[in-house]
Amino acid sequence: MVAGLLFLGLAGVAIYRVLPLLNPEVSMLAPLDPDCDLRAGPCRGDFPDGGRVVFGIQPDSIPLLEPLQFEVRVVGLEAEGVEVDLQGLSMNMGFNRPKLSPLGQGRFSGEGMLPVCVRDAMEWEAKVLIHTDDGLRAAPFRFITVKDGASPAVQ
Amino acid sequence: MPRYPRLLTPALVMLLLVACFGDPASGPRDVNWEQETCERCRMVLSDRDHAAQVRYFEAEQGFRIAVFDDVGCALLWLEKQPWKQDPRTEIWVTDHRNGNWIDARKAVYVTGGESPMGYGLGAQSDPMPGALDFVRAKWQIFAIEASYESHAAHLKERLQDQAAKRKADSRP
Repeated sequence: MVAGLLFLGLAGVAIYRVLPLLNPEVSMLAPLDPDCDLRAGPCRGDFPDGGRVVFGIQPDSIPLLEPLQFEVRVVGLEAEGVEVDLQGLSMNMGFNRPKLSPLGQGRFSGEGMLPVCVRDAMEWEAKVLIHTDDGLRAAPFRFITVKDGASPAVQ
Repeated sequence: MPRYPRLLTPALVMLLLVACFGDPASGPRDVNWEQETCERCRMVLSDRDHAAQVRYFEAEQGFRIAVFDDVGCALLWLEKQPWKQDPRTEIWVTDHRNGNWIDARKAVYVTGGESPMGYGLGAQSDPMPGALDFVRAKWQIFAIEASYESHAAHLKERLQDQAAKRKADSRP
């Protein structure tokens, strides 16, 4: 009985600690730019209060299962830390949120990797999470990946 | 005492051990959760309530088992196998209520839930109003897969449109 209660208590604490990590509370969201094409170059997200984030991925072919370099530039904001939350839009691809390193002057950089999926093509959302004194800000950027051999003409 | 019985005894013991611990010709096997990956999509098997396995026969290797993270993956994979009509093939799924392995062909399938690969079927051993039988569940999986393929084709078109725009923009 005591062990059961202890287990439930520990499970509750674990859920309480993990839930904010999986679904962080965002205080301000930049609107999604439907014309963003990360293969053409970095895209920009503008916050309603004037802050701005620029996000880019290298290599711009965005291959699967290969190291990707994420570059973030924050303008008009004091960023304490930056992460990139990578999520499949039509498929839960698990927790994938590389933390970027500060390079100074609002620039952040880090490495990540996209897993391969059984589907030929998949749409992803890279949500740039910016930790500030005023809370967490998020800027979403979407892109499409295609598995090797599925459609060589577009990669 | 003749010599051959002494040699036969260890052989008999070995035979009994194989009979006790060898892979049986029927039934599901234990899954190494969080370690084994789905034969079709290569995702790690972690959801105990939506997993599947297919036991099949290969001429040279005998009975083999492939494991899947979703009954949808199992049936789509099976459909592509040349031996899919072999009557020795068994399909096992976990009951979505308790994780027990049940015969997929005798199970009914509750729709509208969440499953690892999005086919949304929960297998169970007891009948339930509105639940699908195996054949209908299979057709539902194929229909969902067709919609995924259509979505993927649409994504490829968008990607090609983006590529064309980049090419046009790069022209002097």
